[in-house]
Amino acid sequence: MGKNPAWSWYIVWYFFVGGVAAGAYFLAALADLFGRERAQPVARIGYAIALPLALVCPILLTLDLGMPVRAFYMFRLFKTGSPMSVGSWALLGFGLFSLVSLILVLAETRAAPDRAPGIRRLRRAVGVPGMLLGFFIASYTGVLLGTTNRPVWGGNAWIGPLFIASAASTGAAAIALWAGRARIAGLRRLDVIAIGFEALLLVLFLQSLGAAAAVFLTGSFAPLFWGAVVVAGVALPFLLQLFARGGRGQELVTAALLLVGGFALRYLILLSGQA
Amino acid sequence: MAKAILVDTSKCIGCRGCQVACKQWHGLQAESTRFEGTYENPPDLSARTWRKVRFIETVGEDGRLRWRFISDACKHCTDASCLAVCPTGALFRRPWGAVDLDQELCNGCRYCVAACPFGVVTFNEETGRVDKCLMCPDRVEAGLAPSCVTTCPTGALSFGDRDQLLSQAKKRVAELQAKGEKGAQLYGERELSGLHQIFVLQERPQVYGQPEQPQFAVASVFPSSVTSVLASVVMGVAALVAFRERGGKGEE
Repeated sequence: MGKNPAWSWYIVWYFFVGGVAAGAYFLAALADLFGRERAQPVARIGYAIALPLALVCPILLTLDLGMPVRAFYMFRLFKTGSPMSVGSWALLGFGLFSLVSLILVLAETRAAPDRAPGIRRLRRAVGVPGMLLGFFIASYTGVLLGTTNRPVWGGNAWIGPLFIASAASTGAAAIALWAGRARIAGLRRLDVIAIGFEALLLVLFLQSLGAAAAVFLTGSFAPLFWGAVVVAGVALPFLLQLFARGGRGQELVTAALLLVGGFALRYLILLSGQA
Repeated sequence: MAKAILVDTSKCIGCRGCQVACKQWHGLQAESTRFEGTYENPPDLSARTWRKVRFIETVGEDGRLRWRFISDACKHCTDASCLAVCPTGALFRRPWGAVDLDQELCNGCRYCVAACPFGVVTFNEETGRVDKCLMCPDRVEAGLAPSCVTTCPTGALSFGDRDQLLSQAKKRVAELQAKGEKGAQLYGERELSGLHQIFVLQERPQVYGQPEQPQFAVASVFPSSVTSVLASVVMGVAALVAFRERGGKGEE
């Protein structure tokens, strides 16, 4: 077994912020590609959220390094077997795509009516590779944890998928919060599917851990796991979005719950492998 | 020609000469430790202790107490997890097999620390980088053996061509078994496609604090990637379902 890498709070925040950025971007790109006019706010807001958060990510990662001045050494090589190496390059690419997409959002709103459709077509095209990078950013951190010899993480193939579902739900939550009073078409349906998927993956993840799942279910992490991840992050938002019809107030409460649950999930998974 | 260190635990008397020789050759500081009820000290391999002797007490089937020793350090694996995950290329392989570390390239990301199956690679708080046994490349490339091997007074440590050491180790295992040491076994011939520090053990690897089946961390990249791609597809379809307009029926 490897020693404890002591990845710090910076990494917890990176997992969370990177997940929200990636989720907001891939939801934006998918809404841009498949949604009609009513889904456009998801695209515009999602791209607008992705860029600033994508810029925070490298700062958090740099601060966690033993030698922050050597952060650029991540770009000496491209090693396909190392999720951290590929992830560094992907984060660079994701930042660039977030920037271009946001510029195209602003360009469309300022463009003459006859030129706007062309700009939107370009933005949709840019969104396809950007979306793939978004999925990569959302999941590679989970793959990275699997590629170790630490308890809970080592060899586990369910953390990446879990982080993708969580990126979708927290990305949608960030979009809903940004929208404020404005109603966003489609988000409710998306929440229900994403949270349901997350619940399924959580079960698969715990099952794959076998006896080691006790750290979450009954061990010292149990209160936070049941309270923040299961109840606040999955059960409540799922039931609210499926059954309640409380309007915008409910949307905002759901969004806040999802963000709390998503943060708790990243925190617990990072801590459980370093306990 | 691949080189290796052979550790014959049956010849080790626990003098810790190897441990001290390593510290002296590499200029590694002493560690401040507390008495823990054993002569074994310091408690673990660290950034300042690249080789140490572990002291193990076991009770055999005959009820007699046995004191086992193992001189432990980096295994210089063929499938080296640390080297495979290192994003900067600070960890690299010598042509003769050792897994070495270029301090000028390490940025302290600590991925190798989590990836190592043996708990060898350690973060050094003082330098902000990691440290581990390098198998004395300065000595080996000048035709000498690593300092630990040169110092060992009993022949428990030897250095040379890996193939030759392997046959020597197998002969020794057979010899020990013939003497009634049923637990005698070889460790490191096939583990992780072959270690460059191989062991003649008198008991199961676990007794010496070594994993019975060390895992190559990078082996999980493929299955994890497959599940992540599938999850991405599911979320893509979910978004398609959620955001498409349904024939005139508005989303409330």
